[in-house]
Amino acid sequence: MRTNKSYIRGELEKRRELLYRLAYSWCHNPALADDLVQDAMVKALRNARQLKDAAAIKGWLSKILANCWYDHLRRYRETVDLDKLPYEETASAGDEHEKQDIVSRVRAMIAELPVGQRQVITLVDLAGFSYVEIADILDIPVGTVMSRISRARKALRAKLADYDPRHDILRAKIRRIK
Amino acid sequence: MSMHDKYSDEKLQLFVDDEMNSSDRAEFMEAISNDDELSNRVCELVQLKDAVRLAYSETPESAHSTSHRDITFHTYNWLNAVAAVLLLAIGTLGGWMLYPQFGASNEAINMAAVDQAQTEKIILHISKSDPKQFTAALNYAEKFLTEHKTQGHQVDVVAHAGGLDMMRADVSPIREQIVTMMDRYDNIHFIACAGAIKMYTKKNGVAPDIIQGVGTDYTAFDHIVGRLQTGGWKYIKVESIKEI
Repeated sequence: MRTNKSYIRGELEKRRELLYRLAYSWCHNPALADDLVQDAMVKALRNARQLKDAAAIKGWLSKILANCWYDHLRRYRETVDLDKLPYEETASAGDEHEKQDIVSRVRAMIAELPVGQRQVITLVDLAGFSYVEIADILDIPVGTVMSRISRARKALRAKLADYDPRHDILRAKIRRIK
Repeated sequence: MSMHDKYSDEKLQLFVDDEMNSSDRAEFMEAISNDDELSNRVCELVQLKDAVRLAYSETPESAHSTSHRDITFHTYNWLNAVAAVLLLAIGTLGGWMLYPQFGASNEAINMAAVDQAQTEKIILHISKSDPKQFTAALNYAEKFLTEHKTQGHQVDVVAHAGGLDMMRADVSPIREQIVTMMDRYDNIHFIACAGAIKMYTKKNGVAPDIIQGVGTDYTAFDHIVGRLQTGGWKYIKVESIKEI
């Protein structure tokens, strides 16, 4: 099995984009997402020997990334309840123009989810992990993965239902498209 | 016990996330083939998944990554794809239908969104036995194919439940048009839900006479979810579009 540093370096290059996308979907801050990926890459190379199964590298790298994200959160909070904590950093939302567009709106809906729910929904929908893989990555029971996904989707569905196009720039967007 | 009680949101979640075991899946597919409410609930979840994927399909530039330097925010081109998903989701969830002043141009929005997002593949899903919807689906597909003549564009018209009548040679009011379109275009496929065919056969004691050339190998939801999971496909519920 090739679990040496050169193998991992090659895999990191291939998977960097996915890792960045995941990190960005958790923190919604490009600079922080970049830092998290960098940290994860360094840790992955440093701990190359811990990878026992080359086929599991996608989950292994995601787990390292999740731990980097927890480390970041812990630096700002004494205790972290991932089911309740809404992440407050809004660097990308600071751009007024971006705030106004629909993409930002969908992202904002996801950003409003508690961290734990945001992580599972992005791991299953963006990265395509199975529930068992997510449980391993986040070190939580499979039942918790399922309940977090369920709560996240209910919340997103409710937010979409509350979304009134009459009072939003979506209307202007529609006119432009026409 | 109602379908809603039997199939909780959690159970539907297992289905769309491909976590349902094979025996449950087979039973679920049978139930979904003839139940509009159940199929709409699944559609909502599929659309939510699609919305999450699209929201992060491109991300802001990563300062240290060369692989991200040419990505940045190309929001304008793909924004409309997200808008289309959002509109569909809102429509399915009920809110969109409350605003007929917007609903009147829903089809135009979807078509324009598809154009501007350079989406090349669309799934038109029909679940009701309604000749107006049959015609709307066909007109939409024809317009799309006429306006997208380069290679790579594809249209799948998928029928299940009452929509199966669209693909039945004995009752479809647009049988000739379907045959003509299949002859004219290589990149349009008509699919009749295998589950709906099975249910029809069970109920009537005889298999439905499906138009020659229409695919019958997969259930509607296997086909739709499979397409959406491969990426690049845009899902459109026919009842959300207006006649052209």
